[in-house]
Amino acid sequence: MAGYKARLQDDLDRWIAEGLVPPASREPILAGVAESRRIDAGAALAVMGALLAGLAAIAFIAATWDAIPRLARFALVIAVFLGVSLAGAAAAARRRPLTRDALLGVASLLYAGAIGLTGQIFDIAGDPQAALYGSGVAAAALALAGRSVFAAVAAVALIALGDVNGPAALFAGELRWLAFAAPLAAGLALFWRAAPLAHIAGPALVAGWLFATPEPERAVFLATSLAFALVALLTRLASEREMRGAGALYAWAIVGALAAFAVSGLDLSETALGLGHRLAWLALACGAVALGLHDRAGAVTAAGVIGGVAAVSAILFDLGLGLMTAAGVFAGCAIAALVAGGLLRRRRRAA
Amino acid sequence: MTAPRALPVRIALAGLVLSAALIGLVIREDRARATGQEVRLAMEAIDPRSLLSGHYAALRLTETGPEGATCPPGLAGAVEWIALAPRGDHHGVAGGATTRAEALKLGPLAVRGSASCDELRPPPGRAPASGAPETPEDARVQSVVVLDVGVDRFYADQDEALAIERALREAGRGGPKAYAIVSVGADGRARLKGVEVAGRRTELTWF
Repeated sequence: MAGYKARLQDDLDRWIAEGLVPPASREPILAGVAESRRIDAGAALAVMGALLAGLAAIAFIAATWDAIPRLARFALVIAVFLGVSLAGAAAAARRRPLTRDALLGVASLLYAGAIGLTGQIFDIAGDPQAALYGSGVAAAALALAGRSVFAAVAAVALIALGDVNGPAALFAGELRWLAFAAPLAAGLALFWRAAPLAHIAGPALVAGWLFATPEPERAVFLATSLAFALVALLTRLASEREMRGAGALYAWAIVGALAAFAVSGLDLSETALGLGHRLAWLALACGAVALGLHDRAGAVTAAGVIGGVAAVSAILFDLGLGLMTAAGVFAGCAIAALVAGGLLRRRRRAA
Repeated sequence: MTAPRALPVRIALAGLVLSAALIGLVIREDRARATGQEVRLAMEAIDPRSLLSGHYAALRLTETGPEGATCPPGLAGAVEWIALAPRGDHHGVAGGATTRAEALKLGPLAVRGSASCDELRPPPGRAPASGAPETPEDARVQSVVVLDVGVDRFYADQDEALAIERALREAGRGGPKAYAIVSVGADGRARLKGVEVAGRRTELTWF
């Protein structure tokens, strides 16, 4: 995808050709626009290498090392974690942000391994959920202390794993940690303009809020849908300001809004209110498609299309494949969509 | 742009604090283990080979009661606390409850955990245990209690694990001769101290 500077370059050439901008202004204008940060292949490979080294270290530590006394094993675990953390601090002191980020990500994973290994070395009984939550909190602490996107990504992933490793079932309606961690991560992604964090915070937000609804009732899911819509509104504004990561969060918020709305009417199958719910669902999905096309946000359009297909499937299921009725419903929807589209176009022309 | 000097300091501090937290956890657990009340809980060696995997011994705290003994009270529903009572040379499950206070009414020691119990009836026509007099079928019911107090494995090096496996195999099915040595702390949590198989005690050490 072309960056802002590349697009501006094309536009400037066109404007100069059209006589809108003097040719002498081209270079000063371009010089005033900062080059967007690009990660070259070498740097990307270095990051991948650092991550793989972290995973290799975890595998090595996890392997049985019978000959080493327990205390020495524990000291080694601590030393490896502390060594990588201090290396991250050294990278920060030398102003190498990418190295610092990668090392703190590795340190987060090492700490998660260290918790498990400490339990193993000293036979400390504990539940896996507490260990994963503890690892997640530690990764979050490292992320905040060192402004590390990778550590923040690890924190969200570990907390999500902690949520699904609890004693309660996934649909138990328990308020879980991800419900709080995901919006914080989303906020941090916007604040740091960190696209990788936004890409994990988005689905975490959807999963966190949908599966952690304390009272799985219709009104709560409707409120959740509204909350997602509010997030979509805010992230759309951020996306318009070209904040990195906002686009991904915007798309996931639309997914969440449609999903929460869909779930709010699951128990209304084959009722008159149910048909109204499905039609509203279909209208919202169509609205998401229109919004996605307007904003040139492909992921939002895709979410709307998927939502629409799901709504149509629900209607067909509810009507028991009564094709004549279904045809009537869809014809009504089509007319409504055409009328709405026509009115919007007329209003735009009038403006 | 200059990188803030505080950043390296913050990272180093976070690393040190997290390391200290892990060391503190180990020290706290060790103290709790040392100061808790020691109990021995029966492990049933059904198939010693399947109890060992890799370099740890999987512990299954199971006790089969004598003929005629029914399930302890309170194990049918939700259980959060287990009452333990002395039974000869070890402790056994005296009942289950949802609170510590209720559990302490059933036995002198309460531990956090859960337990399930099945009553096994001998197949019709099977003779009673050798030496035992003829009894009605109901009197020959045997209860099997499976206890879960969060202690399910004992990490050991390969030689130690194989030695425990051999001892478990030799212990056979003659009775609960394999025990998990557990420390029950003031917080009600069970912490593993070691295992005792056929009279041989293997304890956890720092080394």
